Amino acid sequence: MSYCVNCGVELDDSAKKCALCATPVINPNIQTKPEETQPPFSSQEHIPQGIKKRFIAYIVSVIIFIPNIVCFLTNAIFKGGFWSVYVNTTSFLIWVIFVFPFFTKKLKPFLMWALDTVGVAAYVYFFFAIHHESGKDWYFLCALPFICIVSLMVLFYMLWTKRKKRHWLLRTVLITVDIALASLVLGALIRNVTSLKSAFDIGMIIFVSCAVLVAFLVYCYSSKHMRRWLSKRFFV
Amino acid sequence: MKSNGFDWFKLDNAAKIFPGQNSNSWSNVFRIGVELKEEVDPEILEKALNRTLERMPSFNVRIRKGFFWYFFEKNPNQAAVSPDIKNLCYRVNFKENKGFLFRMYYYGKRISVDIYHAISDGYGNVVFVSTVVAEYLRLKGHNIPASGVILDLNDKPTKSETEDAYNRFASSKVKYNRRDKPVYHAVGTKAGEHMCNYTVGIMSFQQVHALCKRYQVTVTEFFAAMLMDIHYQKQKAEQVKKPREVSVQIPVNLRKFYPTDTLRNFVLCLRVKMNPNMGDYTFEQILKLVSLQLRLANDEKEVNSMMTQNLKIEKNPFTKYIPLGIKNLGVAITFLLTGEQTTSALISNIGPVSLPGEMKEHIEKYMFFTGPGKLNGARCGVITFDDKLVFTFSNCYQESDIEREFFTRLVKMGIHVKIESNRE
Repeated sequence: MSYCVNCGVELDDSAKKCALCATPVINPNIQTKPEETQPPFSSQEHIPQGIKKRFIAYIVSVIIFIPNIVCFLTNAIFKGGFWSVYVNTTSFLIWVIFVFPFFTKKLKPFLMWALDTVGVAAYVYFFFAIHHESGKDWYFLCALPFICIVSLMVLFYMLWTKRKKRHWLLRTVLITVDIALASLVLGALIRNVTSLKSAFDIGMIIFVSCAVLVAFLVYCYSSKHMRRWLSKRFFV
Repeated sequence: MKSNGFDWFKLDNAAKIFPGQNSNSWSNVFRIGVELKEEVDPEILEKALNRTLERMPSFNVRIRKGFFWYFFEKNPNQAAVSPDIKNLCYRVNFKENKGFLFRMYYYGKRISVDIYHAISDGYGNVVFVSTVVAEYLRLKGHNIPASGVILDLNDKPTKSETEDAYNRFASSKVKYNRRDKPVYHAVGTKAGEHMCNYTVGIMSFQQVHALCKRYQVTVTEFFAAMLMDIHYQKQKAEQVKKPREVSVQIPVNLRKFYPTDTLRNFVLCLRVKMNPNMGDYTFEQILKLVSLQLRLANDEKEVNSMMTQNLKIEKNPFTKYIPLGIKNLGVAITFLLTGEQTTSALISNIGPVSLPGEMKEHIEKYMFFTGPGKLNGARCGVITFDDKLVFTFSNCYQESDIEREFFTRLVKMGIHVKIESNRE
């Protein structure tokens, strides 16, 4: 029989810490270890199936699948170029992004991130690049690196917000930084692949505007005085 | 098949609201647990359960959709028992569990039933569980007579056990006026989907009773006042600009006012509240406030007008002839707007369970868990057996400060409290 030194309540023999204040139980007089006694509650968690959610997701999948198979077969029978690839890839991307999440019991953000990245990369490849000779260069030198960079940015944002809740100003700063970097990278990539020299300059303009905005937001975040002044001037 | 008059039932007046707002976070499932002095044998328990179900047709049902209302239909399946789980009182799915609206579990020495509120209330479930346990003990070779809350399995089920008692007794001519404002809620970090934290405090009834006697209040009034005070102090510490009212919901068993044998719902929820804008309150003042309000509201005439008002909504032709799907939508929206918005905490006291002497020696304690709430961190159940008063907190948040404050206050007042919890 142990008592919590902090709350003064008697605790169950199986308790390793107090259920009310999480103070660890240390009682040298008790011979049996907490693991040897049966806890007052079962440790088995039962997660009921989300039948409704899955069922709807299943129905939507079927609705998407039917016209796709029809297009694919029509295309295969009546030859005339691979036009059905456009329908199929678009439908597949829509399915991966919007329907698939409902099949998992719990939302799995990292799985979704991985699938969405692969889905988008594959979609761009099949939809834009596969039929053109020059398309492949364009895809591997420009589109794929850009998709990967944006995807990494999203991953960083997810990891950064997962650990603890961030202030909305900081989140805005990070998103703005991402936009600035993405535009710069995109400008550079486009200049390398095509002869469009002005692309990098446009990227630079966006980068500089974002940088100014970021500086202002960071200042707002760090200065309490500034925030107070703003709320005084712009109250509604 | 020959009909015995229990093939189907209409839902009672209180039950009608539950299927429409059945959701993951608001399950309307509560649990009665009985702890025996020896390990439970699941096979014998299953046998005892199925024998009891024949005697209690209002529990042996599945829910079906009619055009205008849901209805209960006799369940042709055999009920089964399963090992206990950590996240008790999770939502009922009408198609799972062979359609049964209760789930019976065993864990070590404990037998528990998670029951959907649409089929019965706290008292009805105590009768059901106790009758199953009595039959279980009989099958184990003990001689248990049918008295107290135990039903005789040799008797035939009666119509009065399955009646909608609201319908029979609601007769008030006074319009009951419901005026409720959104009240204070002690919110925190959610414990996760399908998960709820349960903290059980086991105390001596004699000690608690002596304490309440000192303050000249009942046990329910005392606990309700404590919950109200804790919420009041918590809101005060948060230093909000305009404090909201604090209210505690207290379901009352109407069987004490009206002579009925019904095992279905026959409760009404009373509400006691305080307004912190009136000024500072001490615990003694809150206790007096709660006690006076509750004694005024807990009156046959008062509850009858409330009951009649509830019944009026059901009988209204506009609500009556709306198809079920639209009705459900209406219930869900109404519940979202009112529901738990108007209560800060809930305390449901089943009171002492009376069992025959021969059975008492096999029972260690009774437990009563109210289901998880959507907003409320303190939904409490109280049940007493012999000298053991078991107080249970159902908390949908991770924080345990309300429970801690509650039990440590009792310890300071000289009550011995033993804590059990499903928290890790």
